[in-house]
Amino acid sequence: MIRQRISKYSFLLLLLHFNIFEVKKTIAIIIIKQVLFVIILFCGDNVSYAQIAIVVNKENPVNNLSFQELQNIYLGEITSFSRGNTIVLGVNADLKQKFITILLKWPELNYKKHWMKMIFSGESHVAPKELERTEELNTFISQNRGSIAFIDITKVDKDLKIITIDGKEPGSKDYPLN
Amino acid sequence: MKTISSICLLVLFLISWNSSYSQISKINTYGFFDTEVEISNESSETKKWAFDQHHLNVLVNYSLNNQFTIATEIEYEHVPDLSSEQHDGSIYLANAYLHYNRSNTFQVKIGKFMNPFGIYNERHDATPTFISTELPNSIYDDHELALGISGRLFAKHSTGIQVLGRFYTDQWGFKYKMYLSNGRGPNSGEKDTNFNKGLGFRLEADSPIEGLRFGTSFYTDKNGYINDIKQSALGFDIELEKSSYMIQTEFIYSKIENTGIDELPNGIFTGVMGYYIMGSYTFFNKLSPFVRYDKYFKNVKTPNNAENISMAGINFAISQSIFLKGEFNIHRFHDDKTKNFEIFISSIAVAF
Repeated sequence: MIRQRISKYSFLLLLLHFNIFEVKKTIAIIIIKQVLFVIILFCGDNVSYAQIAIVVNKENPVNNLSFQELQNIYLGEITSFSRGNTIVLGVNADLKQKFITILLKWPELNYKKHWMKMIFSGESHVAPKELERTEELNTFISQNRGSIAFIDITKVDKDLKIITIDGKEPGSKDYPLN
Repeated sequence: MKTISSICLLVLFLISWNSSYSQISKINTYGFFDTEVEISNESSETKKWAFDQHHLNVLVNYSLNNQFTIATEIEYEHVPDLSSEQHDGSIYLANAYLHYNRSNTFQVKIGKFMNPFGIYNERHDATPTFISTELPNSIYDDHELALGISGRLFAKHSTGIQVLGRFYTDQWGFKYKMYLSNGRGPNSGEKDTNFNKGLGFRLEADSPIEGLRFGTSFYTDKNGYINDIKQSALGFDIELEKSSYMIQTEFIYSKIENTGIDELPNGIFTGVMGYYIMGSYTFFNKLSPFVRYDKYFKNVKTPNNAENISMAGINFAISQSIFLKGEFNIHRFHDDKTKNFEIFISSIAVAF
């Protein structure tokens, strides 16, 4: 979907580029402003339409999770994938609000408060690791066998494993995190 | 001796068996802090309003590997100053245990831990997670137990072993926690003053209705602080928590063995009871007004011996980790109205 958008807007920019030489300077400035506006809109679109993929370490035997299991994992209620494989949660700072809204239908503050309760009551001993850069998240998952994170599908490293949710792959019609 | 050797071998086996799953060892540090302002008409002393740097708690959790974690928490309360003659404030070890996570359904804590009793006891003083500053008095405060000696209806913390876990059915989720400890008494982190152990459990159920939870807790021991009187407490709690509102209630019934003139247990029990109900509504994801009604009966068989506290307040989330609170409490004593008083508490609570 994103590649289609890139080609569409590149074509538009190309047309405007050739036309600029044939119009007056003031009109050219207006057009440039409009082009910049379109580019800004396009950039905004990129974030809000990012396709969320759930990613785990490639050594993790899990290939699919139910939506309910994913909710319980991100609430700290499920602590292990399997025997001896304690879950370590990764949070993508850019996609956090969107992910929490889709997964739990909560405001971000409620999620933060929930994890404060988990940590201060000893229910959990490690809060979700929030990372700003996708590269850091990719490294985090590849280095921790029990890690799980949500990442924009276009930025997932090849070394990691994308798992299905309710048997649906990211990008498919009924994918629960669309 | 054989038993000790077997336990040591078992621990070594468990550690070595999981070495292939080891990952990067990590230290994770968390904490909270709160400062209060209180003014009340309870006495001439409390009329002088004062700042109270109430808590500074530091949690350090060290992940040994994928299954073993050391969890610690130190509390500094009321600005401890060991250099002063009065030794102001207090420092205590709230948690220090080894956590073994075998699976979702079976985990073990060994060491010192906060007892899982009611909604709040494990979180004890983590005020950033409370809507109010003060916890409900009926369940979580000290009460007169025997001959002018005050204490809780259940032990706040224990040194011993806890088994816990979670399991799920199609619609429901359950958490269980069972523990065996030294019980209460002088230096209970090191020894037990009687043969009777502290014993407790908590069971929580997440219902199919989102945000609706039920819980029940039990604790019993012989209290070594009060000549080994026997105490048992049974609690129930219900919580409905949605994104914009919260309703919460807890109930406790406790049996306390009386003491005779010689201050020794006499085999006769007193029943005490308490409950509270609290509600809040959140506007703009930040501003949460709340109300609470809290009642405690010193003896269920005696009329006119109740105390109740009505509270109204507001909680404002300055950021995701900083909370500003204000609350007004009205204390009423049915048996002695001269003890009635009101108190206003404002606080700032920070989690880090």
